[in-house]
Amino acid sequence: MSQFEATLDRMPVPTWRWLHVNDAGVFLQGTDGEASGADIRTSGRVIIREDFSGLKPSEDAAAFFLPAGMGAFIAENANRRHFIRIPRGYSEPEPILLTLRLDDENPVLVDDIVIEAEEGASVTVILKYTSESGTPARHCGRTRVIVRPNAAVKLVKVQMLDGEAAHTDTIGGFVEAGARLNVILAELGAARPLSSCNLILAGEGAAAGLDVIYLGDGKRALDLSYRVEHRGRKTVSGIRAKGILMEQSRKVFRDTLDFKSGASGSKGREEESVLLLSPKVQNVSVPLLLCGEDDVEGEHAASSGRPDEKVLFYLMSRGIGELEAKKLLAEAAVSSIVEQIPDASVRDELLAAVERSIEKGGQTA
Amino acid sequence: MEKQKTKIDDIDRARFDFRDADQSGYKTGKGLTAGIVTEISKMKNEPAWMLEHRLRSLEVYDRTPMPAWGPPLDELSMDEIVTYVRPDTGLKSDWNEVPAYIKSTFERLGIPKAERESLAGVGAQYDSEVVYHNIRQELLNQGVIYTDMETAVREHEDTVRELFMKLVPPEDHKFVALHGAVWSGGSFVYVPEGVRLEIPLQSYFRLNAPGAGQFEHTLIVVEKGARVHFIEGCSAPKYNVLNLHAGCVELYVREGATLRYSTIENWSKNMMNLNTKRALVEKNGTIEWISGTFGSHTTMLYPSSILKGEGARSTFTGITFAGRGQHLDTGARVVHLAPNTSSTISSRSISKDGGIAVYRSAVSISPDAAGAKSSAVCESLMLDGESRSDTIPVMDIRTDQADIGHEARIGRISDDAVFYLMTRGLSEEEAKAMIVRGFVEPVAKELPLEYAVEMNRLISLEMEGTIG
Repeated sequence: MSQFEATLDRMPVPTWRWLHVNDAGVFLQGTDGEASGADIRTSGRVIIREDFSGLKPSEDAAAFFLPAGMGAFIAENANRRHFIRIPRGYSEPEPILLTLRLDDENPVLVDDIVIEAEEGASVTVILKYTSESGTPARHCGRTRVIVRPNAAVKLVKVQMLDGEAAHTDTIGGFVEAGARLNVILAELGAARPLSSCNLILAGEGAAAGLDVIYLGDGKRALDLSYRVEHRGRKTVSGIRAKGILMEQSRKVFRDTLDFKSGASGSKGREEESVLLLSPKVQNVSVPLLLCGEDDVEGEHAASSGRPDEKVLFYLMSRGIGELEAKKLLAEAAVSSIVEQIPDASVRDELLAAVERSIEKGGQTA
Repeated sequence: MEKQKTKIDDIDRARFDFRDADQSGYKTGKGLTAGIVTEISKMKNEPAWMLEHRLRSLEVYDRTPMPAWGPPLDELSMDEIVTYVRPDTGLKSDWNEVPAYIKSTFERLGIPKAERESLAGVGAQYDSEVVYHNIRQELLNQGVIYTDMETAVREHEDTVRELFMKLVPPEDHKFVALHGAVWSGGSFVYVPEGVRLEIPLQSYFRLNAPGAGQFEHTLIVVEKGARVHFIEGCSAPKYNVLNLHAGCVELYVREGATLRYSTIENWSKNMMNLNTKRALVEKNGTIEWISGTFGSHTTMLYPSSILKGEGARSTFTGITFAGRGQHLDTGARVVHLAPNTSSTISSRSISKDGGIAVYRSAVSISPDAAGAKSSAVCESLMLDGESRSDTIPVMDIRTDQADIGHEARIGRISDDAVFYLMTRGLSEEEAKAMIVRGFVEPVAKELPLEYAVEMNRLISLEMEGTIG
């Protein structure tokens, strides 16, 4: 079975080496090509194929965070390959839900997914990753989204692998004129999630939103790199991250707005807030603003802190125990993103995962 | 209607661009070898430990790679740099004894006038050596020491040996290792316990020789409860060959002491300015950095504060103006090591005509720094679409009991703001000029008056046309 090992550049522009944020090592396990477990729920006129035939060439935004050879490794080893195509002008009313499970029979998942919304089409795709506790699961995935002119795609990706699983994931989005791509990304499990997303706003008036929820418990080390490139005129983006860190978890969150020359009239905003529930967490934030065009507005803000003592006191004075109060605060922290997920069962699962984590780790705070 | 851009002129450098004929008394050959390093030490009649330090630094330099980040440094070739240029004069404490051509240089830069009017002491370095140092008698009577580093190595050897390059060791990075090998000149300041200097000390660094390097070392100790404001100014004439500045500043701020360190840097555009500055701040001490970066071809400069004692405090106020051909990579670093330490960073940059302004910072909060507070605000003004402005901050927080905030904004002059001011009766040009002056005002107001005036002149904002 093949393997892939490399050092990934995690910063669009590197900085001091001693900060240890510039790169990260990756080790991937190949597959024997056997399909892993998956459920697909869809309806209507959406076409889902097991190969990429018929895909029109488009710039590969996902390649930005992949080192040489890793894209080819994923292509060769993919045991889940889906090409989801939404025909021109068609709006799929119901979310397409793919549940990808790793278990004893299928402990290694390499998924390679392409979503193409043709001109004027719209769709919501939810990808949910789970694994059985105790299974030595390994996941590596690539999701490429192409949003043709005036189309709209919402991609929801929820990673709820067990705490020992390996997880390396990359999203690439290429957004053409007048189109919109919303990505909601929840990184809730795995031992050392290595998560990347690169969105290119290529056409005039293209828009992107990237909403991220991350959860650190136990000794989880999250390594997250996200970037939006403003290339077209009058493009708009927002990166919003809500994190919860507890126990001895560590997190590096890098978010970049990159305004290219020519992206006049564009606006971007990035924002991260972190709820710290333990004195032993390590919380690293790297919000980059790169700007080669004067006629833009870019801003970022980051803040972090433990729960407000006054709020905790208020809740506890109303008869709510400290643990319950922390659950409420954690839920409140992520709720503005969670409520954007158009599937009640996924929302409930996500919130339940956050609650379980607080029950397990919030006690030690 | 076609959009028009504001025109903001380059910094007027005429006042700094004059040059003297190279009348150096002695200079080493080009390049960097153990022979040259030994020669410099011999010329300075140094103790053996300093020669050992230089040679060890050279070894570190040889094995340390170039930085893998930051602006390109490909143009720098140490084989072409003369590391030591001694002017044909010794150190003077009487201005009249300084050779006429050097005196004329500093007079044109306004140094003696400033000393007479508003400074407690002045040092002036020309190429590799300090040529003039003077301090008011009443400060000497209080035990204040303000002298050149060479004199300090001889006359205050124990203190210097204990502190020299301990805060910034040669292993830190390649250019500080280079500094450790070939350093020359700079100032030593010692302010005894409880002594509070109400008017500033100033050192001015002038690099005249083409193709030379300047590697001055500044070591300041501010004892318990003492207070001082130190100002450094830097300039050089423009040549067609590359000059190199790799100075090193080590500041020891003891318990309850306050040090304000102000820099107005206006090197010529053939200068690689790869400078290192660091302060160690003890309990309830304060370091205040004021930094204006206007000149040089390339700058890498990130004043660092290590907040070691409980309640230690750091403030950084910086402005960077990057014009044509300039790549200015500036910012700050703060390490919070103790409880209830606090830091603020306020950075502003302007880039125009293809200039590149980069803000880079690192704020680290250690697990022991419960109650730490840090706030950073970084604002960048882009004046055209040829230029670049990048913001690269890192925050590493290892306690939940810290209050950390970071904000950054990039943009151009807002049409709405111009429109608003025009509705209040200002002409468009006045409105734009007011906005740009307002943008640099947070730094200007922190400077002594004569430097604020100087900065306004440096920026020399000429507003023409209308904003697009």
